[in-house]
Amino acid sequence: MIGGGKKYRSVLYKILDIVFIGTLLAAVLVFFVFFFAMVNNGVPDETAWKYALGSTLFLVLAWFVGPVLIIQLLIERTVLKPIKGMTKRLERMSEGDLDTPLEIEGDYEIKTLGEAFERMRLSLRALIRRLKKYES
Amino acid sequence: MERGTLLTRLTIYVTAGSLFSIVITLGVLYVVLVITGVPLEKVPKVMLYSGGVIALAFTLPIFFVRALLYKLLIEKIDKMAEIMDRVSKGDLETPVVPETNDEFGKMAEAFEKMRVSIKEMIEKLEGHIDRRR
Repeated sequence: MIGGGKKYRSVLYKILDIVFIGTLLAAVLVFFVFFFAMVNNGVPDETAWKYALGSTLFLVLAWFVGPVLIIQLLIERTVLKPIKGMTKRLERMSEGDLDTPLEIEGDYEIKTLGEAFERMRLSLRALIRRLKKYES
Repeated sequence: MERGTLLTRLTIYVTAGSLFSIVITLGVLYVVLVITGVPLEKVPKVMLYSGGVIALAFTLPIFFVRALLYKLLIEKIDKMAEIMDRVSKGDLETPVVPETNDEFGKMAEAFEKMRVSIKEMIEKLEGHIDRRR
């Protein structure tokens, strides 16, 4: 690996790290909001404590199973899948296959990137073809 | 070229997720308040205050997440497109150095391999042509 021996780690995990810290902070906040909402309205401390902890744990689980997982999936599909596809095509290109067009669906920046990729492939192919014609 | 549109779309996903989280959190709060026997006439007021705090705590990080997504994804995509445009203009000399150890770093590595192999191919062909002259 060229990247100085760094181990491969998906962008998704980097995002997940931050989300994890954020979730912990949110969990602490939600716990206290729940606790004081109950205590201030005459619920005994022990009961309030139990209910606040229980619902916080349930909510952390719900946040992760719901929004966090879905957002990760969407990022994977809209951004990372095309990037992986292009990486594979780049590997084929270094083996000399310049003729297979890139088939990647995507929007906005990904589309722009795909177009730049195709422009590059066509310009390299034209260059090589011209040289091959001179040679023969 | 329109700028930052992919980021807008991702921000919409994150915002939807955060709204959903607020709704389930407040739903659970309501249930808990009712179960623990908080007087029903007090519930709306408590919900309003706690709801305000929770809503604020869940919406502010959206901007942070947006900045993070820009740094981790969009910036890298733009840079890659820039490099590809440079190569299509004929510059095969500038090396591409992977900066991260993620999908984009891997792509930069594959790109560098491709650049070197194409460059070698071209040099070989040019060598053949030169010898013929």
